[in-house]
Amino acid sequence: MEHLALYIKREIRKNLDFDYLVKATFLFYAYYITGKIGLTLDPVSGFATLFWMPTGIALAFLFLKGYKFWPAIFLGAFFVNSTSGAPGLASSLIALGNTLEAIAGTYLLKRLSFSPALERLSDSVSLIFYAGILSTIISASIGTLALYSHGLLVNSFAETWFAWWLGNLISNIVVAPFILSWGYNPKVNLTIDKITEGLILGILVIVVNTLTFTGALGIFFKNAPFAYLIFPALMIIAFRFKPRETTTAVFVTALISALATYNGFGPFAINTSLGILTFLQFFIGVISMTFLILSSSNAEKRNLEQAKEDFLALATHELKTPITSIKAYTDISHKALVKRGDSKNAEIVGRMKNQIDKLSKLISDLLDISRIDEQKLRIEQSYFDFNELILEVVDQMQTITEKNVLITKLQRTKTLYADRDRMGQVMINLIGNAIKFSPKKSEIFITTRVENGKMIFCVKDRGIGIPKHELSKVFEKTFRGSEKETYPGLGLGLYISKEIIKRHQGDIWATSKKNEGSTFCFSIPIRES
Amino acid sequence: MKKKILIFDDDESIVDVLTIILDEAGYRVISAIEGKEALGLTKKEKPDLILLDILMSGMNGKEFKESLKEVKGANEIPIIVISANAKTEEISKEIGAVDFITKPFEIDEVLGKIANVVG
Repeated sequence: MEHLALYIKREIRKNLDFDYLVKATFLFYAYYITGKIGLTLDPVSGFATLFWMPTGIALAFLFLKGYKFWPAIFLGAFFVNSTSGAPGLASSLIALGNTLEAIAGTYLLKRLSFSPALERLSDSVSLIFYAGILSTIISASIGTLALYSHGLLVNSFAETWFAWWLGNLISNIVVAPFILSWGYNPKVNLTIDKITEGLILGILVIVVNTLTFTGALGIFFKNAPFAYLIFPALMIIAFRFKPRETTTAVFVTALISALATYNGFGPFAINTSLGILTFLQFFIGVISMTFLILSSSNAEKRNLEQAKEDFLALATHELKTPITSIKAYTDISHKALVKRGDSKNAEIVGRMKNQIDKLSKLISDLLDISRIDEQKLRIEQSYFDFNELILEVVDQMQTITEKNVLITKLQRTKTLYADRDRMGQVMINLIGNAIKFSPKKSEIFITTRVENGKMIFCVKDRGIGIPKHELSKVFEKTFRGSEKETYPGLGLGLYISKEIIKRHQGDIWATSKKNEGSTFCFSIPIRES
Repeated sequence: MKKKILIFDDDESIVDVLTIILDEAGYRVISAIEGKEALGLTKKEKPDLILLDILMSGMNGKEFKESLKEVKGANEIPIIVISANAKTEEISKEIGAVDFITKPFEIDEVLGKIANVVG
């Protein structure tokens, strides 16, 4: 005993500085007070409690702040037990067990690169298994042995050990993640919307717990398993918020339910030989594990999606940069060659320009596709003159083809409310396809008409047409016709066009006859300004 | 008198090609690939127009506009944003740029937009 006291004094002196003392004292009192509360709640053999917060507090503290705070745990555990009737040596042994448990748990978690944010599935699994199930064996074993060797066991060895182990396990998977996730990131930057949603869900959790545990509706629904209602409530929180908020909700649930059950309320207030809280502990344990895993897995998925989106944005930006230079230099060369009258080389460079434009479009298409897949394609709507846009596009498209003549037959113009750039993109796609698939000299007709409050835009060509069996699939992703060797491209254009039109609540369709040509049309509802 | 244009883009190849284009078109070109350099040049040379890229490592376009406010007389210099970023138009409005150009660009478009601003 003397040696131990001296050793502790030495350890404390080693780390002696004000900051350390403040934190260590805080930990000591947190441990002591919650420990005393735990021991007053009907413990097994007098010392194995089922409502035990200190273990989780100790683990979280050591992990976040460092192993050097272990003396605070030892002293806290010692005094909790010695002031509850355990003789000095027994208290020391129990304290030793609890301290080793916290150190072992922290060590295992650190070895496994555990992140207190709990935003990966592996983090939750590690916490549950290594901290929750394994490290607690140490404290339960040493503690029960200590009681046994002092003849202090009131219940059986097995019952005592189990209650001890279960109580510490629950503490490590309910209290510890709550403290860890907040300790890691205490910043709250939520919008008004999120705060409102959070409050509503928080109240929901409390209401469900109250219903379950006070039997408030008991007169009408006796024996009804309200306890299950906590599952949908927690599930919403897990999906709408992060692990940090989910562990908070679980912790609150555990608190309310423990207090209520201890006072005889609720479906779990059944007296077992292990005390009144055992069935409740099972319930809380299952809920905690379920929602730890669910919320961390969900957070991992969301982080991954965000990382993918960020990467794609960066990649396309990086790809566009050298293309910008190449395009500009090609342009300069082309102009210089034309000026010099070198038509042969000017033509060669002119073809380079076209290829570069294709490459640039491909990159934009790839970015669009990824946005569509993630349902993040952005539409920015405004009022604009439809015919004006058509004529602009037709002018531009006519310059890239000599064999096809673009003929417009437009009805009187209307002002449309849509995304002008995206509409232009669809028109360019349809007209571009018409040109691409009309190798022989022919005309391409671009027409508009108004029908049932919708503006209908059509591109009709006299090209190679589309066979019947392929017509239904033409708007699918990566659809490439049977002539794909002759007509290159990624096959993304029509798919993207379809998505754009869909976002405008419009329709897009095609009719065609092989070797006679195709007609592609889309309709957009006209919104009166 | 030749109009002076400052190009601020962290990509040297873009700076090079733009310099050739603008020089050919009869402008006087100064350039910077880094924030402090750009600010220094603005102070010293008082360009008639700044071509600004907005997504760069180091000091980005928005921050540059902010620090421009500290340079006397620099706040009135018109800015044209030139960038590969998908939000180019949005951001250019945010920082009060007079126009924007998306990369990759057409030379005629660039020269046209610049002429609109400085003549």
